[in-house]
Amino acid sequence: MATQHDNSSVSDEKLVKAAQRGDMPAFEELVARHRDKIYARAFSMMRSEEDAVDLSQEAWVKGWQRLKQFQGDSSFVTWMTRIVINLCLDQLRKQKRQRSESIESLEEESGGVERQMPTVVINPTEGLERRELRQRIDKAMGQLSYEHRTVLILHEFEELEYKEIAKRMECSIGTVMSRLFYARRKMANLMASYKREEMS
Amino acid sequence: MNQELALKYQAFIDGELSESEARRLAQVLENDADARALVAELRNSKAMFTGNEPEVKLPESREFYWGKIQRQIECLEREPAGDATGRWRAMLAGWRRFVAPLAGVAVITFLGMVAVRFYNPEPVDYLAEIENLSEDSTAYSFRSGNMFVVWTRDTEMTSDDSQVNFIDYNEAVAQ
Repeated sequence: MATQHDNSSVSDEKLVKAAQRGDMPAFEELVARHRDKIYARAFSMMRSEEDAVDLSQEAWVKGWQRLKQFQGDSSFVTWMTRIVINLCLDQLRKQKRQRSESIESLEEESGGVERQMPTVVINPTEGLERRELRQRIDKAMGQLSYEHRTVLILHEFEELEYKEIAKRMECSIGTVMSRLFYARRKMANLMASYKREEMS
Repeated sequence: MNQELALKYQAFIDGELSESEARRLAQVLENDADARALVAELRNSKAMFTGNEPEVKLPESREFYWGKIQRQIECLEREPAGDATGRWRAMLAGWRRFVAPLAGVAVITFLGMVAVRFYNPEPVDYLAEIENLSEDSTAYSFRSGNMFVVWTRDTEMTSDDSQVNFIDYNEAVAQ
């Protein structure tokens, strides 16, 4: 017989409803189930373990405070992901104000650099096992600027449209398109260079 | 290939173009090998992300991670919702946003009015003796707003015999 706090077999929907009534153990179960995903999103954006842990925890606290506003229009983890993304975007804006622009990011922002990159004609991911592919993607994304990595994450992993990305990043749709274009071309060239290194 | 066209190709593969625009671009692509190479690269770059988000594990145990979250929640919930001082401060902070600019406008308006009255060569209110060629009577006038008061007095009369006439200034000017 299930104990009062044995929530491991309870669905997310029921746990959310219980948590909305103030059931803290139900919320703890939700945290346990989805903490890696929320942390992973924060880490992919911040590229810092410490920042990602802090922001993901802050997201969970905010999630608890706003739980009554969750209507079930999306899944609970999607809703939580949006919260952590917004926190990361706020943090990145704060850091950008403090951070001096690197030459690379200025070149990226001014545009035109991607036109000098040769077109990658082969598929640089062909023949790679999933685990290795993910590792290379992670390595390549680490070499992008915050803005380019963010637009890539929001488009490719969160599957947001240009308009929605522009709203979240507080920039124009044109800027989103330019950043995404640069990020994709840079990723393609980086993945191709990793393949060349492997073969040499 | 210019940047604008390249971004259009990207929008094409992302499904962000209208149907008619997409059809037009597809036709252009058929005749442009460089554009096809670029589109192929963009498609591969897009496809590699599908289902391949890097896996990252939280570097803290369940209990430790949850413990910090729980403490933060309990700390926030310990702040009493019905704290009168807190509510008052919050209300004051809210009002300050409106009161401060309104006060500024009021001060400027007041200073403006003072300046107008100070430099106005034709003061609205004044009491003056009207030039009078008769030695047998005295007349005074007083103006306030639209009201013009003339007070006449026969020099041989007592104050009880003085006469006061109230004249509407605007009517008098119109006549």
